[in-house]
Amino acid sequence: MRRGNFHRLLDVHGARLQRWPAAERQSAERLLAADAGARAARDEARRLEALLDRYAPSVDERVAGRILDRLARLPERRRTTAWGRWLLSWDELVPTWPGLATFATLAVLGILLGLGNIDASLLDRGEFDISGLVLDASPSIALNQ
Amino acid sequence: MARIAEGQELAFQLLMRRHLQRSLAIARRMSLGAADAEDVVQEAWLRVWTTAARWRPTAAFKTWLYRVLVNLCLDRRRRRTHTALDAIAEPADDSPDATASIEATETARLVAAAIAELPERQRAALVLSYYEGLSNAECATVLDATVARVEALLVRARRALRARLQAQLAR
Repeated sequence: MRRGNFHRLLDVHGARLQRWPAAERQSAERLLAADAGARAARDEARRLEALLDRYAPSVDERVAGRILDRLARLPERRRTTAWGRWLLSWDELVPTWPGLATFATLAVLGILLGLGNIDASLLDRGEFDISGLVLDASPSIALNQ
Repeated sequence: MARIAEGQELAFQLLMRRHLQRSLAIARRMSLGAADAEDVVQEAWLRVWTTAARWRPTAAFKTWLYRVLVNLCLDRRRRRTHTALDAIAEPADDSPDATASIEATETARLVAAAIAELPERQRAALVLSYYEGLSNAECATVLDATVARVEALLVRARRALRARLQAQLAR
């Protein structure tokens, strides 16, 4: 491990090597044994963490007590039925919704455009076969048959 | 959580008692004032209750709670144009004598101010990783980011803190 990489890993994982991934910890220990610059960087990281430890905001017990009191009266929650849970599970498909919506919109537009191109006289003569419009690769051929 | 999802209030109260102090400490370290921290933590736990049915056993409860809490803290901070005076939490005073106590209080105030000056997501990454001991992967889940992104946030946060606390580090 090079010293530059060690410095970055110090910033990522901190001065306590126990928190480092095992493979990187072993390389770091070897570097620390051999390199005074790496040891100086580790010592500075320790001093920074000692300063961070000084910042321990006190949390008033009464604040927690007030929250507990207020939330002792919980708002009514609608019962989730099996159907409700099934609908909630669709949340997981959220990333695919835009794609599905685009596909559905294009499909509807395609059908509407296709219907708009039908010659009304064919409908009157009963010569129109909707299956040709939907299934045939070339609907105009189906309409002219 | 499964019992809470079924609407069991007792299970909710037990879980809240277990995590409430920690939730308040996170909100304070996210540089919220005492009043804002109280509001945000209450809102987070209310959301735990109302959206419990959305929780999936595949997600650890702690990371789920922290995600709700940190997002609420970030929202609250964005609505503030400046750091309120009471946002910098008072440190605990357990020093043996008055001089040491004053010095410790001053150091804690400087550290709190340096943390408060960090960009929001850098501060969130530092609080979750250093103070809460979450792994970088857990931090990534809470912050809805990649592990690489979390690592970059931590690097920048520590470098900024080193620069701002240079005088204290040199002592």
